[in-house]
Amino acid sequence: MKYYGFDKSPLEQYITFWQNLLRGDLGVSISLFPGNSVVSIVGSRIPYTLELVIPVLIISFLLGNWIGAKAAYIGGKLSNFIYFLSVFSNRLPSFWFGMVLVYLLAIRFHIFPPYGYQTLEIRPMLWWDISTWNPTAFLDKLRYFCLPFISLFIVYLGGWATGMRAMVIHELDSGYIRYAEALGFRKNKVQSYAQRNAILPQFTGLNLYLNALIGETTVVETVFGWPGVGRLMYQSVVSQDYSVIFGSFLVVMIVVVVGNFIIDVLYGLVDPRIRIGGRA
Amino acid sequence: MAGALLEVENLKGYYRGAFGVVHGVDGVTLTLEGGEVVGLAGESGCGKSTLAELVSGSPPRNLYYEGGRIIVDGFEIYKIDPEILRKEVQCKRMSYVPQASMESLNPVKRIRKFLLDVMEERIGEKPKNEEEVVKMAAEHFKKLGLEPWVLDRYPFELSGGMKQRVVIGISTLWNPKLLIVDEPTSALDVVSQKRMIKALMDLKEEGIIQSILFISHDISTLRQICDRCVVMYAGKIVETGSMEDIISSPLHPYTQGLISSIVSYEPGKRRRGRYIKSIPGEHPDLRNPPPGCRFHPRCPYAMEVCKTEVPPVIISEKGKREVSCWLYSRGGK
Amino acid sequence: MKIGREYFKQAAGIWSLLIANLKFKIGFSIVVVIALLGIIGPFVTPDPLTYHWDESGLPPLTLGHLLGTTAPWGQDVFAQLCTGIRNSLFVGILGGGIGTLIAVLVGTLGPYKGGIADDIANFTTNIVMVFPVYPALLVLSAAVPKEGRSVLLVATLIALTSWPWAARTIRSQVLSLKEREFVNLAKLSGMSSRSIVLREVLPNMMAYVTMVFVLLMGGAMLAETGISLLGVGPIPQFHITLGSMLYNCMSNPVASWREMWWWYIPPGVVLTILLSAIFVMHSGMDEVFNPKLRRV
Repeated sequence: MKYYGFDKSPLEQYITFWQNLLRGDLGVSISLFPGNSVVSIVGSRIPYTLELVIPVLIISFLLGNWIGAKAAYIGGKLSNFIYFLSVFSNRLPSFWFGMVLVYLLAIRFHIFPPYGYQTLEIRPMLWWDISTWNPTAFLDKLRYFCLPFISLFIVYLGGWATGMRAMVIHELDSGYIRYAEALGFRKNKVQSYAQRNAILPQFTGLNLYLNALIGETTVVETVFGWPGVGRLMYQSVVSQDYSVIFGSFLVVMIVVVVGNFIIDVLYGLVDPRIRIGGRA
Repeated sequence: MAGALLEVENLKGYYRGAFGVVHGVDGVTLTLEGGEVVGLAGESGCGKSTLAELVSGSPPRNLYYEGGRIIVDGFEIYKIDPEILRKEVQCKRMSYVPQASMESLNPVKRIRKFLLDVMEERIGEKPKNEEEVVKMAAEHFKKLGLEPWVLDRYPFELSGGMKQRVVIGISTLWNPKLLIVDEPTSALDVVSQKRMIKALMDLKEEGIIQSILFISHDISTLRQICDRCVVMYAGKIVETGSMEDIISSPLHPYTQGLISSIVSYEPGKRRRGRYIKSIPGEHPDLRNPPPGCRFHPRCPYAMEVCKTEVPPVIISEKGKREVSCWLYSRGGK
Repeated sequence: MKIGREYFKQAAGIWSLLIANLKFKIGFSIVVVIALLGIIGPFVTPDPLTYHWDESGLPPLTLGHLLGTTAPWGQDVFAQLCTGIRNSLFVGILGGGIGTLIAVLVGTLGPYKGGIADDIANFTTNIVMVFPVYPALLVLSAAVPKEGRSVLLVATLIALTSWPWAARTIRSQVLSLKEREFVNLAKLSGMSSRSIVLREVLPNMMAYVTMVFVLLMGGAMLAETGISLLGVGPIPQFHITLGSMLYNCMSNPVASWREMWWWYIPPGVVLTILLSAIFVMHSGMDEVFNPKLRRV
């Protein structure tokens, strides 16, 4: 009891909590890992979550917007087909879709492993330790990475494609596009003009998607047994390990806030109207 | 009429959309010779901008070319290969400055970057010496009263009048023979309007452009710059003539209504006792234009024949005046 | 009552417009079909909760079990699906409804009281908006002891985490409506702020609020499935939802869940179709209410 400080009065506990927090000490895990500090537990899991979140966010943003823009120019039946496909894929519950992928690609056809993070025999590759980098470990990592990545990626890909398609269609009616056409611009150039302007509002979506993504990753991690912060949070909720719950939630919040900040800065760099200010 | 810079013959252009089919331009014929400044007048929605957009070769997505011929300096738009249209006609022989040209500049590109893009599109590859191109453009812009620093700015950092002049500058860089300007003065204050008109006249004086098709709903503006005037109503041309003729002795009832609704300060002319006359009624819905003469619901002189038959185009002996009205079909002018 | 009549007139008018739109028709009919399955289904299928021990779980199309049975309890999957649809829809409507209510309250409170109230409303909206939904739901649900997790509670928690963006859009709508002439007219004639909101602003926002509700409903269903899969949704033994089916499948003690595809694939399929139909319904509504979006 003394070890966890439960012998003190609630008020003292509360004060100690804030003192420790400001010092960066999140306390000690109660149940699962007796004696391990929460900081080290959560800290060791962050890279795995980021491994999923960052590639999904970036690649789905780039590819999804590209597909949406192309769909907008092509028009006609193909465009509508892509639209419906992206709407449908955006509505998929990513965690459930992950389960479907597991059944199809891991159980029926043994292409990918159904669970986990790495094969036990191979020495794991750690990002911060270059000595562990080698092709076998990397490929092994990739094999495990594919299914959770795809289940999240497809959903967000559809989201970006739907949005971008609408934005580009809207942009193509703008004054500057018509002027460029009247000046004799090639189709490619006109399209790149439209894209460049249409992608700006998408950055606000990036914020929202980051928030949603962190949440969905939590569930996907649980389905796939991916050792990330989300799964840690789930496990700690099940075992009622309060300090870990709090610690992991705090970390998730920090990631979200820092991510939002980075995106806002990025948006400021990309849109000259924000960067320079200008007249109203 | 060989040798005319712009020939439009029975041009038809319709807007198609969820709202139905709007007959924006329904059988328009006009010519423009090299060296003249022709004004295109009429109220909002009469088809002047539609006509200009069709002539420019790049109409908006819901405007469809439905028939007739447009020949610019020998090139027949909509019949020639789009590549030739792009390379030889647009920007080189004819340039179109759209309405609300403040919106015509790419908001996220600096003017000089946009300029270099236009250059690249014209010559087919990236310009070898960018500095020279920019300098040449700066010289050209000076004629329009724009200082060189304008080139380094983003569009949102410039005023409306500046943006408009930038667009005119870019449109005239290749000395197009024909410049089509759509309502260039409508969004400007009076001082800027005068400056804009003067700039256009200067460009013509210096031979940078040969002819101007000046579109405006404001006849008093047209009067300052145009040699000839074409009046449109509900997608058709109702009267053509020299500027002075149109103002001093308008033939078509619509033109008469337009002229008498001008309020202007004329030193020497007494206006006391005269009040502003307006044309009663409303512009017709062009999805279902009225049969016969399209102006008959609002015309004070409407006769029976006006309601059923489309009036013919009557050309005066000198060939300089045309009017499309039943009033002049017997006896003529 | 006069206010009620205003709303009713608006609603009837809106409905006739909507039903004419193709997208709305398609989306709505799919939702109705699935809802019927959920409403009528549980009456015509065997009780989803009775069980008999069966180690392996029968695959679909075996006699008497359209979609097979679960393992190890031998419950009919199709029956579970129907009950699951009903409960999931229930959570969706409840969660969406409460969320819309909160969003409308916060969204209209700010512009109308102005000053400090507006600041507080904005501040709260921004703070809650940053919370990542699933982790917050996880923690909140876990804070409640297992026995207390009823459908109502879960729906409320979902509503509490998903209202911010709706409140923000409603707020901007209210602000733009506030400046229109008819509101200024009402103010000049001396109506109180509260009356203005209830009588003039809200009836015009009915359309918008309905759209917001539709979206929130879809989101609530998705969120419920997510946390149910993690086991922190409504008590799986009493309330079967589409998500709890996934949870039961994943946590069954006898066989590997991955083998029993007939158990976990149908709920997801139904959920995806439902969500897509809701989206199509929503864009149909958008087309009707936003004439600018109509294309050939």
